[in-house]
Amino acid sequence: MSEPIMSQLQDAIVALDAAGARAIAQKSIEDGVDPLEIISGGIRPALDVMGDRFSTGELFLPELVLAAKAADAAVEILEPELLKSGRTGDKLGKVLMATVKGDIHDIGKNIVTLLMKAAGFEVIDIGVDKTGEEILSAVVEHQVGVIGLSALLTTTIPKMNEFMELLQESGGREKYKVIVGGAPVTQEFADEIGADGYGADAPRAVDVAKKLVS
Amino acid sequence: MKQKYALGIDAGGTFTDAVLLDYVDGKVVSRAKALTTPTSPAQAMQAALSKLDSSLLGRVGMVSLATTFATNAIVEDRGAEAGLILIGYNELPPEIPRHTCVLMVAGGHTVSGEEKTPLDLVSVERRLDTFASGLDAVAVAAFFSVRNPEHEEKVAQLIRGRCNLPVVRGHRLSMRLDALKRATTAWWNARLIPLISNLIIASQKVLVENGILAPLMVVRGDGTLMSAATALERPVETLLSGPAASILGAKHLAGLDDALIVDMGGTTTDMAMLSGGKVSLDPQGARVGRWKTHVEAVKVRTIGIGGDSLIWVNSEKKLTVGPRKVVPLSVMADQHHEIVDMLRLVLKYMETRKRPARLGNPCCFYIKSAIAGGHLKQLSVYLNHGPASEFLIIKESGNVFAGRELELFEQNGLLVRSALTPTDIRVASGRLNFGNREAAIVALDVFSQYLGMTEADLAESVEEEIRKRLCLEAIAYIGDKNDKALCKIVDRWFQPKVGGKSEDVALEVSVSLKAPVIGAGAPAAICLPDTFSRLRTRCVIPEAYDVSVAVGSVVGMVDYTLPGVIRTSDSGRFTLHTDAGKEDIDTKHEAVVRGQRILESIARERMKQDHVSNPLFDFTVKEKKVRTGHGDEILLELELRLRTTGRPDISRQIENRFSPIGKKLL
Repeated sequence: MSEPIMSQLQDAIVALDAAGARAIAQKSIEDGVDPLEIISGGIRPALDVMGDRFSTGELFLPELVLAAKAADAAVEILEPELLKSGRTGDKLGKVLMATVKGDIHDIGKNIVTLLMKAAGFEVIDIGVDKTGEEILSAVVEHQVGVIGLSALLTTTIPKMNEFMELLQESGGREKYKVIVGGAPVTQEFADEIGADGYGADAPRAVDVAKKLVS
Repeated sequence: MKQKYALGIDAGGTFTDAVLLDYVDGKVVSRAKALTTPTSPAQAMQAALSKLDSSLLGRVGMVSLATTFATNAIVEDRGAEAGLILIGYNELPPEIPRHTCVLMVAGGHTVSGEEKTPLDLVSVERRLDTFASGLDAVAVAAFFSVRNPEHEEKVAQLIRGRCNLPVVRGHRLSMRLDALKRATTAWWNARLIPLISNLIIASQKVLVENGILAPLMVVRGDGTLMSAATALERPVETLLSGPAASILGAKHLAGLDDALIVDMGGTTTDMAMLSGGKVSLDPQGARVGRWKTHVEAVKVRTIGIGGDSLIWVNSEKKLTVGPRKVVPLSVMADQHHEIVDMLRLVLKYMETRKRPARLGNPCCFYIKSAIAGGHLKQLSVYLNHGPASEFLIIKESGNVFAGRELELFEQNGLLVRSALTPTDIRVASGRLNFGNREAAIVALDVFSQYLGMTEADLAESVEEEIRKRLCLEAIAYIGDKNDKALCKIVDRWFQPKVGGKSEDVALEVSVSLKAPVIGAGAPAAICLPDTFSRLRTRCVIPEAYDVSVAVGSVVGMVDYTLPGVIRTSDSGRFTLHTDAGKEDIDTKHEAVVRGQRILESIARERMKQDHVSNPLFDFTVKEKKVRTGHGDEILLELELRLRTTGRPDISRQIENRFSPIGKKLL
């Protein structure tokens, strides 16, 4: 019964139509469709499709951002419903997301944040241009289990390494799982700085996070 | 060569051991053992030396001391009164006891060595008088001092200038990250300085009195050597030096390259793995009891069970062995024969069931320690004429004193405690032959009456408890310590006997240890073969098994690795971080050259202090580069390492002595 709504929502996101996505989400609530089902069956596959197209070069970043915004619009409508019904998916724990100091790019981080939420994580997004100390104090304050760090610039990824060292110096290395991502980040880099995981793209970042908390 | 022997000494345990090793062919030419006098390690050292072949002592070219002093102090939570100054910390190291004098002040650096917060020297200055009057030593640790030691140095300088106290700086002991562990390491180093200095001064005196003028070395936790002068600055590095030396000794004596080495001493039992002839180091740093440190040391599991462990009954009425160490009754009664009569008196009370209400342990005896002085107040009445029984003190004082209070006096070092131990049980049965056997026999009788079991059952229960703990610990050390199923299986082998015989078990699972076990330490021959047959493995007990630590102490060499790191700074220059501090340098090449020069000069200085005149240097640079997703390469850091090795010069006679006593004698 919810099948048409799912594919409508997917189409809207793929067409980068935020207003459409919002309207379809609204309609799904009125029809009494489970919001969680909408997120996992409608939004998530649409972002997967877009993510794949981006990976193969079919799509450019601005389009991916617009798709994310469209998805975000739908999530905005669905989120209160999710909270109302007391179901925010399988409770997978808390994730803190941040873009490191010197880097103000938040697109990648926002997509990961969205997918993390859709997967059932509670996400605390502290934004961009954050120093290691700021990230660490938020980590302690919110008692998260997973830390996700993002960077887009070659010049800022060393900050990820510095954060790992700050974590070690503070005696917290064993308490948290750290995943890193962003265009310049590679698996080799993640291994070298001793991160627990690396997401080549947003869906994979979520998979890695899931594995780390399981 | 005139000087052809190395003298290895193992001090601090129940026995003090000494061996003479031929420096050229590595053979043990003479060995001796003497009971350690708890109040005076020097006395035992002298006793052991006088049992060695005296004609060879004049040809000793090097002396090396392995000691469980530091390890025991930490296990038993003993040490000098040390303050701890934390700079730029948000929290205290979790294990530091509450009553410790801790001062937390603003300061500290960032990951790149920039000042995070200005140093609050005023707060330190305000407390200097308290430090000077109440402390024996001070440890200073600053956040990210490994990237910039400036704040630690400033505070240390201030204290040195104003108080006559040893000051320990965190970065000098460890260049690893983890501010809390570094602080713990520095604090224990400070606590150990007075203890180690007493031991070294006493050892020097004994050596000089025996005409031995060779350099004195001390074994470090990784089995390498440092001079006594270095040990006075870095006593915490002697942590686990006993086990490390034991592994090297056991390897040397047994000629095996792969084995589980189990060294059972008086206080503890240590397990360590030897694989491919190499000692495995703990990548996280030495862990002793509940303490985690940054000390480079063998990966060893220390268990609070040894020949002299206290046998007691815990709050769940379970027979327990250790972790507290006491003087075995057979040993104390050797000097104080009246203990036998007192034990008989206790036995009489036990038989008539007139037990005092607050009785702790019926076999406990106390004597005043050398430092007791007037601290004991009313208690002195009972202790002025030699040892007193806990049972009788409680009874005669009309329950004014409880067993627990006496224990506290012991923990503060005012009393020395003697009680029933596994050693006594073995002396009573005749398996061990020393000390006062009668005292052991009566004590066993008293304790078995106390528990309502026969002497034979008590003796067997104690041995089984030890075997069980050792099996469980071996499994936890080698395998997965969280493997509950495995532990349950082992636990079942040791089910208490019901009515004197084991329950019939139709099925039994066995667990096999693949590697052979090399046993070391005095109780090894009695205790270990029966234990490890349960794990279906061979237990090798080499000929000189009871002096393996002393042997191992002379087979090591001086071997340090000094680290440094070079990072690109935000301004595009290069920042060099070493033990000597932080420096900004224009080019990578210059930074490497400068780094090598600094490390070599530190190493040369230390090797000189460690009596090595021709050290070998091995300098390596590892570039940590990674290719990014954009296809370019970035430099994360340059890791500098200077490894320096060498053997202490054995023909040389040393000129520096630490104590005024030594100088006078020379």
